[in-house]
Amino acid sequence: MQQREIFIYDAVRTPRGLGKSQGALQEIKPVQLLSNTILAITNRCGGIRDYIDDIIIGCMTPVGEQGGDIARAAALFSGLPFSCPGLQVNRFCSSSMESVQIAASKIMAGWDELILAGGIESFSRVPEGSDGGAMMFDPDVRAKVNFIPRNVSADLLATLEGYSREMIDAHALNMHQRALTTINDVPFYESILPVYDINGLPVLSKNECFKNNVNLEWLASLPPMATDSEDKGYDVMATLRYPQIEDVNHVHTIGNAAPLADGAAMLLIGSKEIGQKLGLKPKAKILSAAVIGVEPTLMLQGAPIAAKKALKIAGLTSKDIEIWESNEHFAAVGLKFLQDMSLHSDMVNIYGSDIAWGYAAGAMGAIAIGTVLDGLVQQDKTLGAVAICARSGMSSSIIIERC
Amino acid sequence: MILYKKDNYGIVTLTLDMSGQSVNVINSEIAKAFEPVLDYLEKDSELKGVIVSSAKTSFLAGGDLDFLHQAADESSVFDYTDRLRRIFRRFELLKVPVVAAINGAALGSGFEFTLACHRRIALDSPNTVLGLPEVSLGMIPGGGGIIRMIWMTGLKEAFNIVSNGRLLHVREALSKGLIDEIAEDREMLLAKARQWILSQPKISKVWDTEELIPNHSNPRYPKTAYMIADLTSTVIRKTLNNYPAVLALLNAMVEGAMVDFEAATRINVRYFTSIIFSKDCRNQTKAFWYDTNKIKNGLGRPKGYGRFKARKIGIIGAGLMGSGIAYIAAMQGIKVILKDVSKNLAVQGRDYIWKMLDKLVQKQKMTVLQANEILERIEATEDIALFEDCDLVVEAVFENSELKKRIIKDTENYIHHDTFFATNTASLPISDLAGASIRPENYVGMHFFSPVQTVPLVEIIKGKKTSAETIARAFDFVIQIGKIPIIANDSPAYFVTRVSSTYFVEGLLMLQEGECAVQIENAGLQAGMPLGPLAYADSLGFKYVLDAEKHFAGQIIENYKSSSAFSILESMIQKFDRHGKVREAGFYEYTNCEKPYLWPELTKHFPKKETKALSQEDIRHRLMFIQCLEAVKCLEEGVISNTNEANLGSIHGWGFAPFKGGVIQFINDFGVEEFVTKAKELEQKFGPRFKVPKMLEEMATEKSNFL
Repeated sequence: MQQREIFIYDAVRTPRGLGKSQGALQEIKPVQLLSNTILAITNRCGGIRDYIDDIIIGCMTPVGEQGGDIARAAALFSGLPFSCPGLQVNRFCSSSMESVQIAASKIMAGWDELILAGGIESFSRVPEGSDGGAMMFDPDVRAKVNFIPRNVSADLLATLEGYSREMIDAHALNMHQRALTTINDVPFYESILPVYDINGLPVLSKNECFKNNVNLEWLASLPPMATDSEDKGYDVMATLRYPQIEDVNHVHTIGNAAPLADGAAMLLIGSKEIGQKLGLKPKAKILSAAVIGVEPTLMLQGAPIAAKKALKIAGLTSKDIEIWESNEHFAAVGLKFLQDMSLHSDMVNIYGSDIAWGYAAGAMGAIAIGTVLDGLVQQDKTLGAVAICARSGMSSSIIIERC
Repeated sequence: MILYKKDNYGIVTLTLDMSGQSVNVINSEIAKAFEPVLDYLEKDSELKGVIVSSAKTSFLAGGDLDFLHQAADESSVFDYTDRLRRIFRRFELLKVPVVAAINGAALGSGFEFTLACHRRIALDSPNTVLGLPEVSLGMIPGGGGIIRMIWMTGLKEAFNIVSNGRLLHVREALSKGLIDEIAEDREMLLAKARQWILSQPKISKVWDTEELIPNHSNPRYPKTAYMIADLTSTVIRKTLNNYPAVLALLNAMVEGAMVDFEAATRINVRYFTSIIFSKDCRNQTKAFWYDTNKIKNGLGRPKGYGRFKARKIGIIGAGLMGSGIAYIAAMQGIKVILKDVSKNLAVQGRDYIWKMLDKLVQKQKMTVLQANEILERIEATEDIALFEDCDLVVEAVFENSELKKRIIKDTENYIHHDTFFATNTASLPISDLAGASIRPENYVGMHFFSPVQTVPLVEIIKGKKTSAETIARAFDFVIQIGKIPIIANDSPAYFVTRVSSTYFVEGLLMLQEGECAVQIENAGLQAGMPLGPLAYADSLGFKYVLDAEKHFAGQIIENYKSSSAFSILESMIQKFDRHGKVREAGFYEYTNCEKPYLWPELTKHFPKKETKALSQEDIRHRLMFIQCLEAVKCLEEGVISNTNEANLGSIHGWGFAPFKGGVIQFINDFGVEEFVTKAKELEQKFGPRFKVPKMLEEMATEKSNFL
């Protein structure tokens, strides 16, 4: 049977705000952020409202005001017809990537035609870990999984791969500089949705996380984030799984790791037929997608494996892809991606990475797909791909072709 | 069994008095006795209150270990424990006040019982020790006490107390809110109990009235959730996943803090049951209960000699060892003559003892008066004539045969012909040293371990001419100073030094073969050893090891074949001027850092081999099997006479993986047949030192286990 073709018809994202108490987006509730993105798309693509089969929202901390199926809440709050149900999904950092993958598969199966797929994370209002979870908080499970915090896991990755603090900082500096150039020269007006409050007053129109005057001296001067890792036993847990290391080399700092961010992003995914029927202009075609799992203590090493799986499905090689986006919660993750994919740094995260832009976990996949779409247009290229690694050793990837 | 007495006020006093034994112990028998009493109390409408006390000097201890460890299946352990749990709960739910009048130690389920009472009043005496020691036997408490403690002290504090098996003295228990009141004597104890009952107190427990546990103990509260996550990783850091009881305890408490009380205590019973059936629990209970008791009850002591009790002892050498021995002896009320070559040196030793005592005073474990009393028992001197009326003289000078021989010759002129003489040594041949003595039958080896204050073991070494009576006295003395004696026959390095040295030698061999030093060290640690093999060699000091080695090679053993591993130590000293921890440079760097780290140049001088490295499992097996095989040879050769002493000797002597129950129990745990198969595999791959001793081979054929 011939597979149905799947298209991305639209993509929007909010600017990323600092995901902590001083962050601008703390004053905007998560359901409102999502609603902004929903309304932006329904307004731009007139006439789609009654045809939306579902809305799928990825969120890493689906509890409190992000809990209880925030997708249905956002759909109803935004005034979408009652006929659009709503599903919340959680695959940690690749949650919204998963939204897109589920939407694409359902449409490919012929069960749905048009789906809003996106993600939300408001760290400033719903702190990480506030949803509990057995992997982190049940002693038995945590011991069996050998679960350590992400930053220590990223340090472990650097230790095992031999990435020195200098290499890590140099890579981070590169990403900070790219972000600075981007924010000044290529602001992507069409995709980035300024955030207003309930009175229409402006709250945030551009990224709040990036830093202006980053240089190597400053980066080198920062203390490691993992100050209590030895005391709390994380280093020992790392050596339990990786006995070839004597100690974990704590290389990550607030300068070479991404700050937590608030943000939301939304994509409109549909079949070729619905696009023709509603007169929508496709931006890109989804060629393939993949998810994988790896050993959870070294949880952030899976993105290259997921990317290779997706490439294989699409019948492509890494060199065929012209623009890569790969999430970079920590610089070591970026270096590992370049290394395992045998890619030059110029091919990946050309606008700067999350190290500069900030990390809005549940929304990252949808944000990254939107960024690749923008890049393909701006650079006039055809093939783009996204790879995302997630907590506990999961990773996903998706490959798209500009229309 | 349980004496029932009701007074004019309608207050019933239940006095626990188990027949035929000196302490009250919670077992299936007492459970049966409690139930009809409860039936009766529950029906008594005139009842005003209940006081529970004991007719013994202690209150109540618990855990029927024999029953638990012989139980056929999980359901019988679960049913027994759940029955106890319900008995405690029925006391808690009586409509009248129930007071535990704790007249002495309340331990294990005995303490759990008191927690179910509405008030705990304890006798203010040093013998009133309270707490839940289960974890030190590889178990967890099962009667719901840990759930009650969460509510009483907070989750974190409760976990910290129970996870260390820590016992509390009465005042500490009072300050933590685990008991409510103290009484100076038995009369007052009962009077206060009666008084409290008559005051018509509110008796319902917070866990039965409050809907929610306080935030600091509620795992659903984010800060508490992270606190629990940290406790978990800290447990892993400390146990390396080798002690499942600690994690089970944490889990039982965390889950217990999320559900209602009834479910919480039943979850407690479920974890308890699963831990009872874990190998680690069996191993630890065997070592720390059964083996320990057997030895203390005189398993290895020659029969037919009256009990020896030292009143006054002489110690030669006031260094760390000598002072340490003086300290523990004086603590037990023994008078000590501490002698060194000059009065000044002897006084320095005594000052060192004062520092240790002062620490205890600072920690409020002792009063200044008590500390002074202990110090006054020790006389520092250079005068050997003061040994005249000593019951025993312990010589603790450094490891030098000539010196030791000279000392025994000198000393014998001043001591009674009946006084026995012990030399503290780790490996020197006792029979040879005894040659210098005019009374070799009174001469015995006593291998103390450093630091003497904390290591609970003494290895007694029997020379060729040492009399059985001297061994019996040495045994009694070791028991008198609160240590566990094991008895070895004089032979090269005896038991502890001989077997423990195989551990680091195997590590050195692997380093020589080109295995990664980090992996060797981690394999040792993760197998449950206190130090990696290289760190262990560092701690001994290379010169010390090589001297002992040369001694064996030169004098003692015919056809002695030195292991090639020792050449590493030689080159470490000669080429790199690295001597071990004493000089702050060995396989590790010890200077300028909080935590020692492997000498960075190690990989340069001992490069990793090109061929495939050994798996972590192979490294671990080599390190552990070599010790076990050597220990079996010791049994076979009669160096040590029973498995119980071998097990405890290994655990206390060099820290052999306690969760395995010791160096011989390791083989039972692995399975004797499986062990033999694996050892043969190792022999084929790594050489004849892994050859299976005949004794073990036969056991595998007979499908028998070590006792």
